[in-house]
Amino acid sequence: MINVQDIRDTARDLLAKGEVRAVIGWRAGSRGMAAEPCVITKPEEADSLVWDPTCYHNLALNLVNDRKELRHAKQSPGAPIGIVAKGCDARAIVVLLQENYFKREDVYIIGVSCENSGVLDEKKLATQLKGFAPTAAAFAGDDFSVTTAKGENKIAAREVMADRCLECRTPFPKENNTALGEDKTGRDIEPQFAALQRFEAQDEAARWDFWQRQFDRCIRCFACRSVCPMCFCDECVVDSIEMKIAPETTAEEKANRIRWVERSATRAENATYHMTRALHLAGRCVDCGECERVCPVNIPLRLLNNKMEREAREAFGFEPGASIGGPSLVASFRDDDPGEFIR
Amino acid sequence: MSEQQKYEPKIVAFLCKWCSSAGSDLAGVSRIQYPANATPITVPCSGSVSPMYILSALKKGADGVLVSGCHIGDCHYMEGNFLARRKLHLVKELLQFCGVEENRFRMSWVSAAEGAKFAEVVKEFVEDLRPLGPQEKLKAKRA
Amino acid sequence: MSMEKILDKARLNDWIAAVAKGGWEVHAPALEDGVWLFKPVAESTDLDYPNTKQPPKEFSFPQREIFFAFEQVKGEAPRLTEVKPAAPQCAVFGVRPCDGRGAVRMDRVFSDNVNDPYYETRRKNTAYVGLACNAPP
Repeated sequence: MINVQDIRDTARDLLAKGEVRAVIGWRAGSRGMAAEPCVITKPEEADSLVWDPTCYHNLALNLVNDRKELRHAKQSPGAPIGIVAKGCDARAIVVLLQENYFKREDVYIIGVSCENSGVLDEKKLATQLKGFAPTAAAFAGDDFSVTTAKGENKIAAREVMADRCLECRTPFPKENNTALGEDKTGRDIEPQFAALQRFEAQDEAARWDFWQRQFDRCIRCFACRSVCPMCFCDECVVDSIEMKIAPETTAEEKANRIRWVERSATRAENATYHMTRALHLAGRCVDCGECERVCPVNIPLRLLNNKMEREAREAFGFEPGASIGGPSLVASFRDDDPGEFIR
Repeated sequence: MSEQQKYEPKIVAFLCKWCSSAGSDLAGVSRIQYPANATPITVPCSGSVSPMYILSALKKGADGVLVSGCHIGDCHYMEGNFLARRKLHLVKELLQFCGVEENRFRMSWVSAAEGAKFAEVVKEFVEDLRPLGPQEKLKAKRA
Repeated sequence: MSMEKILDKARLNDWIAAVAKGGWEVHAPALEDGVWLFKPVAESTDLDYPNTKQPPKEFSFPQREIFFAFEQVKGEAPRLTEVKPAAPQCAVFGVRPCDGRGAVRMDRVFSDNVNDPYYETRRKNTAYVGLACNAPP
């Protein structure tokens, strides 16, 4: 188990020595039990950092935001930025590095292992607690310790951990500058893509019936897109409207170009949006599961992304977030890529 | 009152300029008879076909979408069709995953000399699409 | 003169069934994949629920509606026909006080000093059956 003091000491040290200009981590949130992402810049702020099962956010998102702010202000990064990163977060950082979003020396990764328990799924916990609001959650060995008005109780992690953690194959941040906690790679609680397989066991009609319901329910709030570190495009393709582009066309004008998807949150438009996003994330999504967590209408978005990931692995031998070098999935090919489906 | 008309599937066909589009022209020039159900859209390369083209066609009510390019190894831009093969495999898998009928999206390699093959590809596609009926799942409902 | 009547809770379903039979489309909160939404119901509903994910705004002000249809006639200007809202009578059960107040706010914008036939037709044809919050979360 990680001693949170180690995280704080590491951050404090780096900031005091000027080795990083800031550290992205988690601190106690203002919304009940859950932690919230934060960016600290002074050594004394390191004491506010926390590490508990509610640290489910993918902090790579904050790295992207930091980079965007620098770019818009036309500033160069200077010293690297530190980031506390779980296994999933580190994989996301690898993808961003692979895509040259920033340089390896621009980021100092303080890896943290979620060991055997992964992180919490608040919806599952709410069901378990039958309406009693939790005020705190902590790692307790392989399980979680949750505090409510009734007191502290231990809950088996297996019952309330996030679905993505059940199937996670790389719970340890392999890409790091320093790492805390034990490497529990191989904890394999459920087979990878187990949820995907269960879904695919259904026939075509059942699958459409399912997705049609999801696409009907989607309100196109774009929470999924907003929380995804890999959805970093300044102008998302679904926000565009029609326009002619000339050399003198400004970025702002370009942001208002061809309308591939209408704005109204109706089934066909929503389906196009979600499928487009899944395809744009193919080979890039590391299954951090945040999109599914933040969806206000409970659309099981991981299914779409996992489908693409499994195709990447099985059909193309490509593992998202595995290595910084090498081309992306859709910018490369193998001579023996499947082609029997082509007439 | 017109009599019951046979359902004619509407196909949108993205044809690469260098091979497949030329192949379709050859089919025409050779006076090969084949169904007129495909609306051709010429693209520079099958590799330039974005998944959004296919989704957009389906959203606008296409009953079937065809993407056709040069044979492997013959791409005018060297690698375009290799990339198409990979990208469009993903599109095909995703559409099927969501419950869209497998036969609605198709890919083919048709060279500039294969007018007959192009006609055959379209003919087969129309026959495979007919029993499926109009594509309603991803079609945007305007009313 | 308003007549207040008290309905036995156990007979709520009978009332809903009677409303439905009277030609109203009855909508009530239903749980779908862990999310509370307003769904059309034929008879019974369980009003023991927190609140819907989205307010009952769609009944008076849908996100998307058709105002006009046009017909292109060769050689002439397009012929426009106005499309009046179909607006069937809707009874929405389980509307929380906050959402009810929201409807009143909407009225201020869309019907108090303006004549918006689309909004008004729908609003007139929608009956909100409120649900008080005895134990707010």
